[in-house]
Amino acid sequence: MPMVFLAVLDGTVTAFVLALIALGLSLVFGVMRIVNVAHGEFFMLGAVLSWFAYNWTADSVWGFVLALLIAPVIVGAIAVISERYILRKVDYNPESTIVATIGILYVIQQLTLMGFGPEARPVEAPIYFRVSFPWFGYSGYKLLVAVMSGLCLCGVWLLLKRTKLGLYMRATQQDYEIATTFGVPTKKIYASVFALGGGLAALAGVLVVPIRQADHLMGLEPLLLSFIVVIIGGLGSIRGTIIAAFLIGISDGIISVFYEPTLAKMLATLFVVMILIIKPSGLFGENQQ
Amino acid sequence: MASVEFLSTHRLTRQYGGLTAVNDVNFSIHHDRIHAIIGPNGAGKTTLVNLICGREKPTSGSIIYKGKEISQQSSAKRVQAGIVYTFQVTSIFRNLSCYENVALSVQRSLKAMQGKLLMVSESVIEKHVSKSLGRVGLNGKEYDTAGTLPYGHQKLLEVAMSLSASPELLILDEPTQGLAQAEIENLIALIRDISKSVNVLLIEHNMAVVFSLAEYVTVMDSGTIMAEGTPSEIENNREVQDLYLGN
Amino acid sequence: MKRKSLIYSLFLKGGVLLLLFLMQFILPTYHHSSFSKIMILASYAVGYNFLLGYTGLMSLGHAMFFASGMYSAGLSILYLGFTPLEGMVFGTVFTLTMSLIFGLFALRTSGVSFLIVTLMFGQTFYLAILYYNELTYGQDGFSLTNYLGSLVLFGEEFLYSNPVIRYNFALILLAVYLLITTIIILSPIGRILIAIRENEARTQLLGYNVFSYKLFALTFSGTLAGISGAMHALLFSYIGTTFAEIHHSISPLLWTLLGGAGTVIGPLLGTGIMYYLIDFISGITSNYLLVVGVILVLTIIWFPLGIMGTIRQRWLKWLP
Repeated sequence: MPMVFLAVLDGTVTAFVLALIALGLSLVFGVMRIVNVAHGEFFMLGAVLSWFAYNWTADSVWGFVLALLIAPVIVGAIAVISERYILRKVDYNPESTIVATIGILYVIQQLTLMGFGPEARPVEAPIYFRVSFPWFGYSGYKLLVAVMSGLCLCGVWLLLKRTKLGLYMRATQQDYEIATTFGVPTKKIYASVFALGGGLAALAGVLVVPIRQADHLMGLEPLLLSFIVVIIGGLGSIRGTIIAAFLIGISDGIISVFYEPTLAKMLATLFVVMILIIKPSGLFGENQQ
Repeated sequence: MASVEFLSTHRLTRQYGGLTAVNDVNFSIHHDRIHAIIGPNGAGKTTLVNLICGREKPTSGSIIYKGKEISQQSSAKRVQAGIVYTFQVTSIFRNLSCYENVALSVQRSLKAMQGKLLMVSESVIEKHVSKSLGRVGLNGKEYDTAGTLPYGHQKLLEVAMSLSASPELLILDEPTQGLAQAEIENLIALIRDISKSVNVLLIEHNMAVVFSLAEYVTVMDSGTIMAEGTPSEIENNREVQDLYLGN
Repeated sequence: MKRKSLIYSLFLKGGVLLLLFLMQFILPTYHHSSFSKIMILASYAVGYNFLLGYTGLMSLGHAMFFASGMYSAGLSILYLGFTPLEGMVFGTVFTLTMSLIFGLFALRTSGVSFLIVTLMFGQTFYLAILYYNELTYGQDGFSLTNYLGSLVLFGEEFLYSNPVIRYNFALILLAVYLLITTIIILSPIGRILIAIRENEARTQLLGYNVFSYKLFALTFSGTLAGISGAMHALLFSYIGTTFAEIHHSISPLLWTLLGGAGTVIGPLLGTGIMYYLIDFISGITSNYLLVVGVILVLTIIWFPLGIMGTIRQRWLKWLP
């Protein structure tokens, strides 16, 4: 029983972080109708930049703060540059974007390998405390991660629903052409959304890196998990993404207790297959044309 | 002589969430008369037609075609049974030649008549493609890329494709939209010619076209049939006048 | 028009194949072996192109078909004592079944969802091979050398790893693939697949059951990939997880795009160029993936039709 509770706790933390990453992917798809295969690399960059921040400040708290500030900004900038000089050039054609972002994935991954090295490097958590449950002590930092991710998710929700930028984003999502005729700066919105998506992923990377180490290959797994989340939740549905992230995160936590991670991933895929048989557009998805 | 019902819908309904686009509609098409559906935007005309040709599935109700219930049949099967729909916004293969556009349609009809697909020879296809293109007035354009044709010709190409699909019920969705007057006259003559061997159902906004072509008119509004009758009956119908003048 | 296309293209392909056949007599050992590899990988790409270039479906999980052919052939030879020929047949049947079943589920989605599904299943297949490593030898892989026996041709005995056998078997495989795909593409079925690529909705509303045709394309493409995998196992003996990894799914996409998606001979060109390019770069740095990434981006922006595609558009309109 305590094992299951531990699994649920771990799963919840995973779910929060996964929700952040998947949300970035989903927003980009919802507004721009493209899939960014390099999305996992933005997450990885967040973690790697975090390591550099810690290294530079030589202090776990200041490093954390610095990372939180600069990683999303740097990654956002990289996103904007990619959007402007690559994605726009292929006119956001879905297939071409996929190919282009695969290329970007390789470039980012290899440049990181060259600059950071092939080993995984650990990063210290900014605070260390244990929360005592009746059966075990649990890492306070992990709980902090969950709380901060939750705050972030709320922040994004507020941005979308309450701000002018959010309104513009939703308008562009509804109909790009009509939004443009109404004066929405759609080109800038596209850049902003792509930057936001990347920034969210990078943020997740910063939060997660004290829990797991930073290495140049760490982007693949979150990418695949995000894909599962977005498919199950339904491409383009924010609500679906968040719900699916929790579904996946917590079940992943529980399954990992009883099964090896490899097997757990295989089961997750089977689960996706079943959803697809019943409802090809995902749990909350809009029907694509 | 009594007309025989060719296609009829019984309590046909299509709902999306809170919106009912087609509401409990009993609609029927009889043989050998050109039938037009008119009505303001959002009346449900296109949705009704989508339900008939299979692009959408009904929320409830049934569709009987040639005596069989078809509302769960796939759109491809309905085309094979003779219900052919021509898109409102032309949907052709823009990057392919006119020949390829029509040939795709031709080869399926030939296959249906002959059996195995692989046995349809290219020379037979060629003959039929020429005939179709000739009928709509596009002969000589076989090797032009479809997307480079002027809009009016693209519409004609689409008609050629639909004709080559061996339709028994040809559904034209706003066929004259976007055409110049001369092209409209041309198309009217073509449709009249087609209607001699094929049942034609058309959705139209252009009243001149409706009165010139249609032998029977259905008026829709807010998902239901408001009135039906010959063009002159509809012209004199008070409610219809209100509907259009009111708008 | 079609007939002219068929004749010209058979000449072109025949010429290329003849050239490849003759080159084996003048190529130095290293390049001789490279060409053998290129031809097998090119046939993998030709199969991939059938799905991408002609039907318009992008898959990021094709490595699972290649690997399934490779592993099912290899494992059956290893454990069940199949002869190489029986192994190949088994590999073919296994992959055909797998791609058919996969298609029945995966094709319920389209566009981006389809892509993600293929990616995930590809990854899962890779994980399954790792998971069942008592059977599959996991990451280390295994060698078939001692199990293949020898091939008896024209009264003489040859090893499968004999360079002459490798080269010519790879050549024959490629030739058969090119021939079959050309014939299908120029046939009525090819017309339907191209129509599906160009405008799926219209194709359905012209009376074609689009799902069946897509299923055919996916199964055919997957089976071709599987046969390539099985042949690779036979000729190069080593069976390992590199052939099931994501990178091996992205490779045919890269080769096809560069050479020209939607042309039959494009994949061959793309495979050859990338193989030598990576070979060359690997001599300088181990970060060849960086170059691959840059080429992918540059190709898709400036050169979306690929080399043969651009040639077709500008000069050789009849190229299938």
